[in-house]
Amino acid sequence: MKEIHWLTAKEISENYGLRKLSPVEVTSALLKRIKELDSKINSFIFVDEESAMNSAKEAEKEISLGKFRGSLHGIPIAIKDNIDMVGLATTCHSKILVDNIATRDARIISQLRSSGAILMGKLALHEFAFGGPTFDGPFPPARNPWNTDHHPGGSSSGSGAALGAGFVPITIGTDTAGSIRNPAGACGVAGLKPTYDLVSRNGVFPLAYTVEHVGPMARSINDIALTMDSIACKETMNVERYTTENLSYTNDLNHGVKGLRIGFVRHFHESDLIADQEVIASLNEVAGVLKDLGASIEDVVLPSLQEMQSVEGIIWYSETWAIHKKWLRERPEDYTQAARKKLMRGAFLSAGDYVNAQQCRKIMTDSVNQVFQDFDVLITASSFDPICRIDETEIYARNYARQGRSPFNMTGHPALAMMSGICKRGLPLSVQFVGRHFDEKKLFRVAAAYESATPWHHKHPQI
Amino acid sequence: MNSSNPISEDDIFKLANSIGLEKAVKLYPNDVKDAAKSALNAVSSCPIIDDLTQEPWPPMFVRSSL
Repeated sequence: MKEIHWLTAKEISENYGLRKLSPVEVTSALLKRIKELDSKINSFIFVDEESAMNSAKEAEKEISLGKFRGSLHGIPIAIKDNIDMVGLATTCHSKILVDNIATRDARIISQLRSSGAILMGKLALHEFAFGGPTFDGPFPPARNPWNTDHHPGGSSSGSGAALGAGFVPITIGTDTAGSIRNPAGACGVAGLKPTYDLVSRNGVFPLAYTVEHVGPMARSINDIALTMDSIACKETMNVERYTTENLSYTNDLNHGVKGLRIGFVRHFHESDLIADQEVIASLNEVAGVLKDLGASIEDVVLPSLQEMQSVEGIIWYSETWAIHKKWLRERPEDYTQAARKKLMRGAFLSAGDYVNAQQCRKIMTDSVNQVFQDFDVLITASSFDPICRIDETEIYARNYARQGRSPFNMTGHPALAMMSGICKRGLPLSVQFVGRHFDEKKLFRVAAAYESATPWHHKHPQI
Repeated sequence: MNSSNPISEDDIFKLANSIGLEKAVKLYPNDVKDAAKSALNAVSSCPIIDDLTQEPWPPMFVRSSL
């Protein structure tokens, strides 16, 4: 058996069933690893050791009595610290909310607890999920486990870093312009931004109401899928599909890609903006692998990346200003510089700008839906550059917009980023797959086929 | 903000003061300028919709996709 800290949730669960591992054994091993190594990574803001061990003992007792609740029963999961867990502070990695104790669980936390998951604690993020890797906040920034001098991506920085470091098999992040997919790619794991509204935002501190998503991150596609089985909200799903199909997101994982029609959105990274050569080569390899597996690959054209990003930006900045205006007026000194600069943008936009952007959004969403009339899944670049050093502020700022993720926050399509190579500097590269609204299963099918055909998800950093 | 008529630094600060950001203007003038310029850049890259009947998001009638 692999070392416990590199096991996937599926492998852990299978070992519980075979009585080869127990929840107490797994939780203890991971807490020990966090204690030994997280001083280098800073992925956790708070490790809830006592509660995690209590949950592990309870899970162990239930499983031993044959009361198995499902694939997440006894599985350690860590949570981005903008999601409420009753009794714990939801700090959003900000001085402003450092004493903000949650009085109830977020909906997703209730769902995970019902599934028997063991909640290990709260993870670092960019301030209010919008700042950057900063050294003027209340907690140190998370670092990349592949090279701790480097940025782990963000804003779910701790969620990516904790997975890459082998501290937990599953984390939860939030994504308003790529904040799940960026750290997933940077830390060599996988992350899903589900279809808009498929996972509840109730109990998540808002960044931008209409472009924000909550989703799972993991070291395997199967673990992403089985987490979705617990956290997807049945009431927002496509009801017809829900009632006529066998629902589990893991069902189609091994069906392969033969016969699937995959569109390759080259213009994002080849002409709208020019990606790094290593990124371009990696994306071409991904397309080649899927073609060899039997998918048809054709170039497709979406609206321009810059236009989609600007529309998403106006919506995002406007909604963010509405949330933060009181604090920005009264206590701007309590924000990190990175967050303050970004959060004030919406102050300079008008109601007319916002409505115009929402009209553009509808046109662009229809345009992407039109492409999905002929294609099952799209391939696009996620990050256009390998991740930079954590102290390279100017490079970080330049690269911030060099990505293909935020368009799908605006259109609401599900999008998944996963590792697709290793650059010359030894850091992960990534690809993004995008699916039809509420068709996460096909997205998982493509991602799982790519995962099976390549060695990347078996690679782990030395810490 | 009007994208065809770039805003001056003075106007940025006047606008910021008028919407209650006096403290930020005093303590962090560069951050205020940076925020205003980023907002202006987004507006200047955004298509302008002239059709007043163009439906915005979210959709105004029920459909099977978003």
